[in-house]
Amino acid sequence: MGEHVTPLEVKWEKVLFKKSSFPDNYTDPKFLDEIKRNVHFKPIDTRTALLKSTRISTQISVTVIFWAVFLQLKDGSAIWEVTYGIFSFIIIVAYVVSFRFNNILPVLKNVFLFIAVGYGCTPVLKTLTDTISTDSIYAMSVILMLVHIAFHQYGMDGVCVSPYVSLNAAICGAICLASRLQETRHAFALLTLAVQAFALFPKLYEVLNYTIIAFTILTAGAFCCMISISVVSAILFLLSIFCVNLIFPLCFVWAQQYKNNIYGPWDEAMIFNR
Amino acid sequence: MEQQQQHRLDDHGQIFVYFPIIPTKKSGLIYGVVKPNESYYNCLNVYVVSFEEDAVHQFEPIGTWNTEDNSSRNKSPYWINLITENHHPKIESAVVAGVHVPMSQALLVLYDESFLQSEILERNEDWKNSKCLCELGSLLRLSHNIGVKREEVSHQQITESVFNHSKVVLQLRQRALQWRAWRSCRSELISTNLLLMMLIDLFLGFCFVRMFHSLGGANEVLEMFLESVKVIADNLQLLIEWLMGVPVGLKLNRPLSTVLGKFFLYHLYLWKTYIDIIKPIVSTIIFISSTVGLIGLSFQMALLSDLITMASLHCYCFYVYATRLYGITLHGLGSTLRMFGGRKWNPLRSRYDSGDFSWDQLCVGMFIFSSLLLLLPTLLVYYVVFLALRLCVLFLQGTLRRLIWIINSLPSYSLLLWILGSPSLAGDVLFEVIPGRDSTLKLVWTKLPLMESMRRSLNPSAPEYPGVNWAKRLNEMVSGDLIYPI
Repeated sequence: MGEHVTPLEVKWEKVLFKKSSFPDNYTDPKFLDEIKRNVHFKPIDTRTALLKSTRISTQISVTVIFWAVFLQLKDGSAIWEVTYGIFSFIIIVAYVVSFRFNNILPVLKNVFLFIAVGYGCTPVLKTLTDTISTDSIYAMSVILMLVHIAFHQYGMDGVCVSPYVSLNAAICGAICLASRLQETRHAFALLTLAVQAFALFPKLYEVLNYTIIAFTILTAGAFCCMISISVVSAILFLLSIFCVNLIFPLCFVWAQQYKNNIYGPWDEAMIFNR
Repeated sequence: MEQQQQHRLDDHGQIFVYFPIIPTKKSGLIYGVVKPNESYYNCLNVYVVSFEEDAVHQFEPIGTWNTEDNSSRNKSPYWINLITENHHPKIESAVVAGVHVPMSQALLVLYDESFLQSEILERNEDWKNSKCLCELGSLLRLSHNIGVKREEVSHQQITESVFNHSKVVLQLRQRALQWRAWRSCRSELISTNLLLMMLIDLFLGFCFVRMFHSLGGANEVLEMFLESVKVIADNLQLLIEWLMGVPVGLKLNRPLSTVLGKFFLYHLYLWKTYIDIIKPIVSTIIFISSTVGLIGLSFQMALLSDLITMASLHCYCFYVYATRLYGITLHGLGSTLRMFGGRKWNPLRSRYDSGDFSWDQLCVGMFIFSSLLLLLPTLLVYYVVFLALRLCVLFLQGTLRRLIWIINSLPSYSLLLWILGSPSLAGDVLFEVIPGRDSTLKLVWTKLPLMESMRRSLNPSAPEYPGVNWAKRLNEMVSGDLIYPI
């Protein structure tokens, strides 16, 4: 019948000022009671995830519109004026709607200076990439645009976010493409479009609080441009928008149930600056 | 009369007796000094330096050599008896402070006196660190009345001056320095070295001038020189025109290549006009300078070096232009590349930090970045071509400079002595064992390896070896800094 007389009648307490009969490296099962899981976790619901993912697709649409204008310019069709005009019109309307009149004078001055200098420097651009093959230029531009989309600041900070790198990559990609065009004014037009699309538009978009209206208009416009180029490209574009907007956020929301960050008193002390 | 200190020897003490290997007298009393050995405890050094009474230096009689004359024995606490055996001296008996020293505790060292003539032995590390040998040397010098140790002549250098760019002027100054050193030098080895060097220079110069006259004299050489300058200019023109086209199949940026090529061609055209204008002046200069050549071969080589500098001046100009352009491009490229990543140089903390840029600054920066990046290959090609030309010229001048250095600093008298094996060049001492005998060592001098001997007998006015720091040069070449002539 052995009645187990536990020699350790005394309860283990997590104090150091009392003499205890436990060895120093004794681990009590009560130790794990202090574990905390997912302390700083705020779960995101489906609606927020879907809404916020529209920001990424807007940027993708803008890039696609830019690329479409380049292709139209290269082909020599006159459609590019239509696309360009519509895009600039949208930007101006958005500017007006956002009531940024108090800030408009320095921006206008910047724009005019930019136009003047850019028009003077564009002839240099034409011969820069004469010796590089077209395929290399296209590959370089695609990579730079992808870098632009990847590093863009979509309203929150992260490891991979650097607004400077994204803008610089976009401008470099635009310069590469512009150097392929035949006429100087075409190249200049493409460069101004690049500045509008990659430098001015994101700021506007942020000020307008990432409205859905911009998303719908731009996606529709991009889709039309893609259709005018080819059906395959339109289908691919739709597929990518669908993925980015629907599938990836749903996956993200579904995967949140597996989040398991463990915190406890054994963590390193972190110093905050309040 | 100095009182010699009494040193006792305990049971296991040793005495070291230093005796000349070829004694001047066949027999007689021996005179010398006894000192305790500072390196080992309880040992004595007995230096035998003379065979006759010398009132000036007062060496005490400390023993006999091949005689039985023990009359002065009582005056000295030490008494050593030596005899000849098998052509070598040997210790017969030794008495220290009235106690007989057994033969196992007495070591005989036979030294060769001729190492006294050497001037470079005193600089040997082993000799300087050994107190016994230093004492031996100083005592021998005392007994031979040679005099105080020769002091080091201070190293003299040529003062910095703008005229030093001309190699002939430099060589003239060097020659003046050597003359002064020869007059003021007290060391026989160094003064003979200098004299011989100047004579050899004159002799070689004379030979060359004879050869020069056999080529046709001053006018012929002048014609050859001017002809070669013209040929070089024509070849350079062909080279630049080739670069403006499609060199080695490289596709260079056409507008930039044209601009650079035209700029260099215009400069070349100016150079050719300049050469035509200064032709009479150049011929006078060459005629005057050919008389300079009579002073020695080093002057002729210096003259040749100066002529090469004058003839390749336009090459140097092109190199400077190309290097500056390339350097500025690299610098700008680095700066805009950092701007690509949103970083900037922070002068306050001397490091690269994140920078605040506005969108228009970024656009202009990226425009500059892509332009510089795509124009870099063209500039690089021009830079490499002119760098190669400049390196050829520098290589020639470097060779001439090193030849002049050899003439200026080669100690030919030391070389002759080294070949003949003279004791004046003794650099090191060795202890040798005499076969068939124990407790006897021979102290002989040896000469050092050739390079070491020559390094230690350099004259004080010798210039430093013009060394090249290859890592630094390579760095400068890659990053577009100017290479100054070495």
